[in-house]
Amino acid sequence: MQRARSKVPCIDKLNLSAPPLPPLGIMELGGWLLLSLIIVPMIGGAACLGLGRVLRLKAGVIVTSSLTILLGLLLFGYMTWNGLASISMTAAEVAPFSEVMLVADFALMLVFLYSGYKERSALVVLFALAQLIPLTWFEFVLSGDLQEPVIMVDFLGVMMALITSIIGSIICIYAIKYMEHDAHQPRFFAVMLLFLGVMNGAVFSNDLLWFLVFWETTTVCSYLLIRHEGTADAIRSGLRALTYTLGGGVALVFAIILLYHYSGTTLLSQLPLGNAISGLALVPIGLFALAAFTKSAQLPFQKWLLGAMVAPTPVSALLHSSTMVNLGVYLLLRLSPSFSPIPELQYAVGLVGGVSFLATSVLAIGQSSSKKVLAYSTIGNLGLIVLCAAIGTKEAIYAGMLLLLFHAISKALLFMAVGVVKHETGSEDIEPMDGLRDKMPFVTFALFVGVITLLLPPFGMFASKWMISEISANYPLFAFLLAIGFGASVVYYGKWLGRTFSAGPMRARKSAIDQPLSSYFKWTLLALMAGAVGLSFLISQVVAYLIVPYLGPLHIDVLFVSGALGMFPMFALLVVIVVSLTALALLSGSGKAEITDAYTGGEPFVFANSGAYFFSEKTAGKAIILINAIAVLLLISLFLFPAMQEVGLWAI
Amino acid sequence: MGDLTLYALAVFLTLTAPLAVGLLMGVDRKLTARMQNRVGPPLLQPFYDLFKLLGKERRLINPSQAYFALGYLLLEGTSLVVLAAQGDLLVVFFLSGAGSLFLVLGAFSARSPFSQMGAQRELLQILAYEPVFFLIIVSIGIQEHSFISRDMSQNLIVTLPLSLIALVAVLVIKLQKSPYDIAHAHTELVSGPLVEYSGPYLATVELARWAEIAVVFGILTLFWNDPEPVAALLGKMVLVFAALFTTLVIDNVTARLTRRRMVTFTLSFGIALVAANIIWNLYLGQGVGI
Repeated sequence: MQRARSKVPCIDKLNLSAPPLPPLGIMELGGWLLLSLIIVPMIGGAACLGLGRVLRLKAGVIVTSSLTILLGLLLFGYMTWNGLASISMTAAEVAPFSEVMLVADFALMLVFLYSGYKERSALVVLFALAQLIPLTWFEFVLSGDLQEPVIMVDFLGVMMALITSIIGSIICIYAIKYMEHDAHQPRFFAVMLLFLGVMNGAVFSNDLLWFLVFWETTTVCSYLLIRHEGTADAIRSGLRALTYTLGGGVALVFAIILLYHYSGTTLLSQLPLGNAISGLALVPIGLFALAAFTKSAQLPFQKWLLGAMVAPTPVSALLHSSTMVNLGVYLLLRLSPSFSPIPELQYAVGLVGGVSFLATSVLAIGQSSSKKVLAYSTIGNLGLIVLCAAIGTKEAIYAGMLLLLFHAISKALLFMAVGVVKHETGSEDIEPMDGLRDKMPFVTFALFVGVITLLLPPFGMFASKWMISEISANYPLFAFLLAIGFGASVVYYGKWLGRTFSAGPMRARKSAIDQPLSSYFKWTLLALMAGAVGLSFLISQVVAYLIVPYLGPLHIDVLFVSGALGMFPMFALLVVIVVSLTALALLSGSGKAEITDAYTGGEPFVFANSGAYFFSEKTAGKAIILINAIAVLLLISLFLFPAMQEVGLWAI
Repeated sequence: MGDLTLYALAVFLTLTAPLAVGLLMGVDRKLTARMQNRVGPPLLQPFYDLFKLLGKERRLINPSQAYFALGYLLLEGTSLVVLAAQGDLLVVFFLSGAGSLFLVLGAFSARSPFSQMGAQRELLQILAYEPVFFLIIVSIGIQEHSFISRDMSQNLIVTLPLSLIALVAVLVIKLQKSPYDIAHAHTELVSGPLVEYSGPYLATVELARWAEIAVVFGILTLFWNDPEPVAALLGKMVLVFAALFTTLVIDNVTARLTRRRMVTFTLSFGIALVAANIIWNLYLGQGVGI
């Protein structure tokens, strides 16, 4: 068991030549916690396959989810309490698992080959072979060092694990109700829970070969979940997701091999700094970024995530908030020191993120399906995180981490709320949600909380948006991408939220709610609402206990509105707004107001709502072709600049 | 200045700025009338209207209208507080933007054809002016190396003249003046998002709108700075009146744009203006300016 007690953790300064370590049997608590965060959800998932009967399945999911939440909190508590900046485990310590990982790796490739063959997809087969052959060769070339920290978790990893374990588990519990009439529940929950363990495994892996195994397993999980319903549409979307992310896997495999070739390491913690390498040695960095873009569905790879909307809503919630897409931006945040010092790569990566944010925010205006709107919003917000990673200053990484955390909570909440609407009414389109607050007041409130915590001050997401805006003054080009994106996101969320609140004269209102909300829905939504609002209140604590241990203190405390009146804490603003709203509402006694009819110039009228979408699908289609072309050019430039530098055509 | 003076000044500015805007509205109506060869209402007419509305009976379609109206007022008010306390301009911008979202939600919450059409159009206006407004603030930040309004020391009117022109365009939209009176469109939409508000609730929304406009004027005043307080104050006032007069002239000589043209025109020209200014200052005109 190695411990790094440095106050400001710096991954490349970790003491890697520690004395021989005890065998697995007497591993310390921290190591056990890490391993159990990976294994417990997996065992729970496997058990679900065996628990055919509904009642036992329910219990299995609840127990596993609760255990995972508990373990995540324990890990956080253990590291904070002991003042650990990171925990790592060497290859020797986890030796029993190395074989498992190797087998898993090849088993995965065979699964991919089989899926490609079964679905008659030449591309999938090709991508599987393009991973299998180089990997087999690489396993022979590579000489493992038993003292290498194969597993390492710092506070970025802890934050990711908390997001996955807590939000992911809440989604699983929610899914118990949502999927109650599904024919293949054991299979569904097995994959959902497996996904959580795999995701934890990925963020704990320091050895890139381990990382690759977990990375590819998330691809399998998402493939299985997207095609779960078995309809033609689901199978097609699943295959598309598989193709895109498997292609990213190929990039990852070659990135690892080339990284080993140029820099002699397969450890994430020993990634070379950008200003120490040049020419073709930069190619693996570009390949890592490419892999991350496929995983996080950045332009031009957005299509698979939009197609993934055919999956049951809990799957969407899981993919969008606590697993899968987070993995790409996580990799980029880790990779940031390797590419952000080089302006060409910095701008190429940053522009992919920025253009993704701009384009998806505008495209979302034209969507009539709430899940599509949320999907576009996810891609956009991940684009902002990519932008932060590209800028790469401490402030930017700070903003990126905050964004990742608060986006996960609010996005899970929004998907789950939409899921309830779909479950109860059978539709997830925006226009039929007209007057939703009469029919489902609680769910409407959840949607409202989700949107305002995602958009407005003084909630958590706003803090990071504010930081990004502040940083953008140093990168005016990025500021222009942000400007339209911010405006457009107010528009598409405003339209949707407004629709749900639309209501006629109160006296004519249907007072009856058809049936009380299932407690599975109610409590999971409540938990996430409390999380989104509560953590916004506690943002200084979030920063102090999750982000400062990773990045060190920030010299400008941007979480405060500084003015001539001294420091004005964000949450004071929140309190002022909430208190005065309540007070004024009580004072004004709106309940006593006379209820009147809508003004129509005295004409009788029937209200037929229709949304404004501002542009047609056709226009959007043309725009998509254009922005995809831009994104492809940016991706090419990721490799063009290093190549030109290598042959002396370009001086970086 | 001591802390106490600053406190007093911030409170004073927050309370008086919306009232000053009310007065400016009076000036606006008077001047417009004169331009159209009418006598026009008394200068204090906006206040008479406001007080009369406050005394009227309360009528609503449903209570959430009232909550959203209060939210609008509070968010615009908070935005003004931060500005008056010489705080961060980005916070001012985001708070004010949040306020306009609440206005839209309030308009949507009544199931009324005029109100909802007004809400959709208000959203379009947000899409048109928010990016430009944001970039103007970013250009100020770049120029002053700070977003804190207390740190503003330059005469931005000299270094950011094109941003200033773009800010006037934002002002025209926020004042619902032609060619941008898309949402209120008094001839066919009655008054857009406000149509279902009456009495004290309408007064609340009206007051919030004054605060919202006060924020824009407040940012406008940052374009003139002078170490001498009297000169600074005079310069800022001249700037405000000049901007108001310009919007009036524009209002009277232009016809309303279509929705699509409003968005494309504002976005393209507004963004191009600010971009040109930033590029000039950062890359081309180094050493030029004050």
